[in-house]
Formats: sequence, structure tokens, C-alpha cells
Amino acid sequence: MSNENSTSEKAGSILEVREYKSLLSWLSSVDHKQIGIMYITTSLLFLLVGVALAMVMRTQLIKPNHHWLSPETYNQVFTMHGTTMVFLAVMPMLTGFMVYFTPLMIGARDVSFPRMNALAYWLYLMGGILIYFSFLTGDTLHAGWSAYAPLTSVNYSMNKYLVGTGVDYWIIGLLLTGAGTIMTAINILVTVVDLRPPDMKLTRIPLFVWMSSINAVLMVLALPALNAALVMLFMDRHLNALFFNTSAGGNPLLWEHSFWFFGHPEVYILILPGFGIISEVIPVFSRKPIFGYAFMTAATVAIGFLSFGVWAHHMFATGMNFTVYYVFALSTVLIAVPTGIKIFNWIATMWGGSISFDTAMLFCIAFIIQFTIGGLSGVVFATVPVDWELTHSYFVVAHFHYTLLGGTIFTVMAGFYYWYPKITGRMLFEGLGKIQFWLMVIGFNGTFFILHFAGLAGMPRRVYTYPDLPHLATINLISSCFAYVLGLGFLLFFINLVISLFKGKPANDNPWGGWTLEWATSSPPPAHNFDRIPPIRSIRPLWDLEQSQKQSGAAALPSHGGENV
Amino acid sequence: MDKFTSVLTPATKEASYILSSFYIVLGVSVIIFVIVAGLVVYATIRFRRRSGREAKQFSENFWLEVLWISIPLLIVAGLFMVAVRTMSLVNPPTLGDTPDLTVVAHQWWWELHYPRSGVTAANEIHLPVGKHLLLKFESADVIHGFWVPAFGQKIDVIPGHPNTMWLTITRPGRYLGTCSSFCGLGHADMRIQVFAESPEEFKAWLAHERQPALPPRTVEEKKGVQVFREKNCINCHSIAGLATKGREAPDLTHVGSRTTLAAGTLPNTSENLAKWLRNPQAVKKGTRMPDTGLTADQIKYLTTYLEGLK
Repeated sequence: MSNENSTSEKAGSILEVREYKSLLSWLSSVDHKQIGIMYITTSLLFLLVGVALAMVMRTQLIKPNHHWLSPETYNQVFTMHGTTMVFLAVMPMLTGFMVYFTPLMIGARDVSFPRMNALAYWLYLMGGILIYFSFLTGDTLHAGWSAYAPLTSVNYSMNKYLVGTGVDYWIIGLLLTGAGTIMTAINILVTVVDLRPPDMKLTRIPLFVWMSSINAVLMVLALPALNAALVMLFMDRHLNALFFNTSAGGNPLLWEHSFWFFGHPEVYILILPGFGIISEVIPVFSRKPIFGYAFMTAATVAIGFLSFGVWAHHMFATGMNFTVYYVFALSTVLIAVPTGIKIFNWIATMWGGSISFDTAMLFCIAFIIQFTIGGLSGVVFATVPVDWELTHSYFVVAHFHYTLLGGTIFTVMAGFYYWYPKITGRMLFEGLGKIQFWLMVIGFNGTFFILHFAGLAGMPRRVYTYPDLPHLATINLISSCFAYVLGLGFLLFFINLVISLFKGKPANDNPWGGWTLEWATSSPPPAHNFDRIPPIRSIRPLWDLEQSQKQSGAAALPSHGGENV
Repeated sequence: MDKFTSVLTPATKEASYILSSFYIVLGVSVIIFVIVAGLVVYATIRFRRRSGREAKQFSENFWLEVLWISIPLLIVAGLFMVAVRTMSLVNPPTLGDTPDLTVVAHQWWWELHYPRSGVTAANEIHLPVGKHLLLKFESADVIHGFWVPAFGQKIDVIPGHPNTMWLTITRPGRYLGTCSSFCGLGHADMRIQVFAESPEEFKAWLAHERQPALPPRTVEEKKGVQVFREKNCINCHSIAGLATKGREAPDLTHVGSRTTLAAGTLPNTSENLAKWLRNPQAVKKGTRMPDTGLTADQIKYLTTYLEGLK
């Protein structure tokens, strides 16, 4: 096929791509773009369910002594909200972006192991379905997403009908999705190491790819700890293995250590690709290169490294030795330093720029401010005695929603508004996007900022209802009302995604003037990704191209250094 | 009496130490937040897109990076020192001291032992003001958490892993708390009340608690004892002077003198006790107390007897 007519051949929208029209092409696909889209779409459906569960929770908590839901139901709802958001919505959504964009951003044809890529997706889908299938048995896991032993043992997990089959569905479902995640992580790592064009040096890799790769390292190292813990739990339940049974010499703290050895790297797994998205979007909408590229990369490595040394800060109230507390308090406060580097570098990227306030950029700006709040309340918890006071309370709920919702979800929103045109060939509606943005900013901060005070007022987390103590009724009423505003924001987002697919303005190849390689191909990209890759001299190959074209006045791609793929 | 429930109204020395370190961290955080948010807002306004102005293409400054690495390092080092200092103030080593109170958490109530006086009680804790008290925590089943917000720290109550906590209560009053670690169906209904009293009042309370249960006086109360024995209450509950084998459920020796029933779920009145006996699951979902199938008369007798156990 000749290179010249590639632009004229391109489809206007993803709906018109011939290869994508049959269902079989999706079911049997090993194309990273299709798999990425399936990852993202599936995770969006789970996100919708997770948001709906959150609405149910806030409705139950709207007033004290509210008995709309029974504790059985509420406990299942909050457990599934956490499980869904962490394992089935946010992580796979980020994975979807990683799978879709990593090859495109480094100029590769696909990932290294396309079949394994497909297998990983299908494992994730099947795992998710298994976990949700337990709703049909009437007995979903109801011990929280962290599923502390011995509440999950056969003795304590039964209700009056069943012997806690929900725990088993949860274990097997998570083992499947976990196996899938590890496969994808290996795939991303090998792709980045192996499939870069020769002139894509390590110092020229886009930050999204850097952060995704480090994220992949975290996945490869952290998820096996969870899988091991899940296997131990399964053996406890079915083979009487007694890992967590105190009366037989086991120890429930073993579960906590294993779970959080996975769980703390996991929270960085849930944010690093988001950092990557922010690091791509801010430069483009500020019309400047990212500030402190080397420091950003090094800070990501530092976060990845430290993330394996902080897990016990989830266990400051378990009564461990003071020396252990010192070590983990120190590593935890240290992680604030590389995170601070990132925040300041993003601000420095905006500094002196020419900032346009498209929806993607708005989400980035709100992200910086909200994530700073989440980071600072994290430092509050790193102060061990303060953690003793505030852990397990609504202060913690507020803290991690500032990092995961005000943080990760906002980065993902920026990612959607930035990349939707590339994936689908259509623009998302900007007007609707801005309404969504303001609803989400107001709804999110209204819901969660005030929950810090619920924690200070003495409200523990994971209660289906609470007594009418001073301030709690007011705080929860306000929080629930804003939660509906936030829910409306999410709803507009889903509506925008669907109608833009049909009615959105057709997108050209590079609607935002981006500089990384994914913008050097058509929207949506052809099955083989690139007809030709521009030379890569810096982290902004398309900027270099623009400059050389300005100088030479030539419209064509320079022939030297360009590579046919 | 006042009901202090908030972290911001400390009632122990330890809580005051913790609260002051909270305010230090909060102050530092607010300053950092104002700086970061100020820079973001300034940048978005000052550098918004305007015609005739191009973005400057600078992208690195080594000394700037060094600046925003070293200043946060100094700040977190300072905060770490605050943490270390407060930790040893709040929880000095226990050196094998006998605890003043041992709390055993059950699904979903609190068993209380005062080892120095041999008193056993449930759910409503009495403690003296002004003494440096050592509390010990054990769990009979799953992981629970002991949290009285006005007392500062909370502690996980873990099976096979006893924990301790020091307290010096500074103000008398009634303090509410709750189980803080999710422990199953009844988690939200596993509440704590602490009555902080003057040492004399506390001593009097201990003396009262040490007495065996009052013997039944009226016919109704005697019938109540019979119900207690025959309807299997006796297998799980103890009443000193009557039956002391049951350890699975709260000690009822002085149940009539408590202010609430079912770990803070209901105020302790005859009507509520009758309601509880009639259908425990309707009052507190998940409770281990079985439906004993009592008739209306049996409930009346039992209620009269138990409410008389002052």
C-alpha cells in the first residue's frame, strides 16, 4: 500500500471502520486497539455499576438511624463498590489506556504478545462476571474490599442461607483478573523494551509510556502477593489449612500483611498511568514541553520503589512494634517528596505557557489541586499517632476518595477528552464536557471534603447507619446531596460518550496539536497503526517536524530518519 | 452528663497530645496547600491563551528541582520527628504491668474485666479520672476496633494478638465510642459508652459491681429466674450468685443498672428489654442471641427479674 493516500483512505469514525463491523472481529481480535477499546468499554460499564452502588450508599447514609437497607445489603453494597472500583473499573480502565496507547506512542505496530493481550482481557471480563455472579446467589462478599481474615473464614462468613459462597466467587474472580493484569503488565514491559524504533531512545519515551512501564513493574511485583493471599484464603476455606485461624496457630495479621503488600503498590498502580495522562495533556494545552522530564521519570521510579516499603501504614492501629512504625512512617512521608516533584513540575509546565481551557485541561487543573489535598491528608496519616486517631474513620474515606476519585478519575476524564477523538474519530462535546466538569468538581468536593469532618466527629467507616450524634446528620445530608450532583456529572459523561460516537464533530488526525506519535497517524488509526513514522529527536517528534517544516517550507515528511513500518 | 464524641474535644492527656500533633500537621498542610493552589490559580490566570503571546519553550531548571526536593524533605523530616515524639508520649512501654481493664471484643458486644478487683461487666465501661490507666484488648472471634473519639487513639482488637493502650482521663463525663474495624453484620450496633468518674465514684461502682446479683423477691421475679434457667439463657449468660458458667454473652449480674441494652442499641427500659427478648434479630440484625420462643408471660417475668438486677 502506498503511503501517500493513507489520509484519504482513513475512515471518518470508528463506526465506519470495515474491520470492526462484525462481532466476530471483536471476539477474536488480537489487535491492541480493539482490545484497548474492549478494556475501556467494559471498565466503563463496571464504573457505571460502581457509581450506582455509591449512590445507594449515600442514600442509605442520608440520615441517622436510617433503615432503608438492611446491614446485610449495605455490607454487600460497600464491599462491591470498593471491589468494583479498584479491580473492575479503575485498574482495567487505566490498563485499557496503556494497551491502546503504549504501542501508538512509541511507534509500534502492536504489543509484543497480541494473543496474550487478548487472553488477559478475557480473563478480566470473566473474573468480573464471576464476582458479580455471586449477587445471584444472594450472598456476595460482605467483608469490605480488603476482606480481612478471619471474617472471610467459613465460620464467620456464613449468613442464614449459605456458607459464604460470595467469598469463593470473589477469590476466584480476583485470581482471574489478577492473572490477566500480570499478563498485560509483562506485555507492556516487553513492548516498551523491545518494539521501540531505533531512534526512540529511553530519554525520548513519552511520560505516559514511562509511567505505564513503571506501573507495569508494580503490577508484576504486587499482584502475586494478592494471588498468594487469595490462594491461602481459599485453602483455609476448603482444605482447612489454618493460615489465618488463631486457635490453630495461624495469624489474621498474615492476611493484612499479604493484602497490603499488594494493596499499597496497588494504590500507585491506580494513579501512575493517571500521572502519565496528566503529563501528556498539560504540555499540549499549555503549548510547552513537560518541565523536568528527567526528574519526572526519576520521581516515578522513586514512587515505584518506595511503594513496596510502605504497606504497613495501613496497619498502624494493629499494635506493632514501635521500630516497625518508625520505618513505615518514614518511608510513607518520604513518598510525599517525589509526589511533590510531580506537582511542582506540572505547575512549572503551565508556567509561561499559553493555556487553553478545553475540558481535558480543566480536569488536569482540578486534579492538581484535589490530588494535593489527598496527598496532604496522606501525610496526616503518615503521622502515626494521628493515624491511630483517624484511621478506620470517615477521614480515611475522604482521604482516599481525594486521591482515587478527585485524583485518578479526574485524570481518566482528562484522558477521555484528550484521546476520544483519536480512538473514535469523533470529538466529545466540549459544552457538555464543561458542564460535566463543573458538576463533578462541585459534586466531588461537596461530597468528600465535608466527610473529613464526619471522621473528626467520630463516625467510623463501613457502618450501615449511625446514631444521631452532634453534627453527623448535617454532614451526611450535605454529603449525600452533593453525591447526587456528582452522580449527575458521571451520567452526563456516559451520555456524552455515547452521543458523541454518533453525533460528535469529526476529528482530524491531530485535533489538539499534540506532539507524540499517536497524533502522527489517522483518527482512528489504521489496523497497522502507522504508514510512516516521523524521525524521533526529542520527546516531541511532531513539534520537531513542525519546526523543520517551518524552516524548510516543505509539506512532506522528511525522508531521512523516517521509517516504514 | 455531657456526651463527648468528637476527636476535637479531647478528654484524655493522650488525646490532647495527638490533637496537637494533628494541628501541627494540619497547619503545615494548609500552608503547602495554599502555596500549591495559589501557584495553580495564578498560572491559569496569568498564562491563559491570549493572542499575540507565544508559549516560552523552556523545560528544565536544575536548581529549581533541587529546591522543591529539599524543602519537602526538610518538612517531612520535621513531621516525622513530631510523630516519633508524640508516639512515645502517648504509648510508653507497658513493662508487663497488670492492666486496669481488659476488654474482650465479641461479635457484637464488649466483655469487660477489671483484673485488680475481679469485676466483670459488659458494654458500659467505668473508669476513674486522673489516673494513668492501662487497657488491654483481646478478641474472642474476628478483628474489632476500640475507638472512643474523645480519648484519642483507637486500637485494633485482634484474635491471638493482645494490644494495650494508655489513658489518662482528664474530665469526668459520659463518652461515646464504637467498634471501628468492620466486624460483620452487627458492626454498626457495637457501641461503647465510657463513664469517667471521680476515683471515689469509681471505687463505689466497683464495690457495687462486686456484689452478687440481688436474689429474687417477688413471685414474678422468681418465675423470671425459672425462665432464665429453663429457656437456656443460662448457657450463655452469667448472673453472679445464680449461675456463672455462661461466657458467650454479656454478664447480667447488674444488667438493671446499665443505661443501654445490646451494646448501645437501645435505652435500657422494660419495654425495650421485652422487645429485645421477643425478637432479637428485629432489634439488632445478626446478633448471636437466639430467638428463644418465649411466651408473653415468660417475657414479662424475665423482664421484671432482669430489670430488678440493679
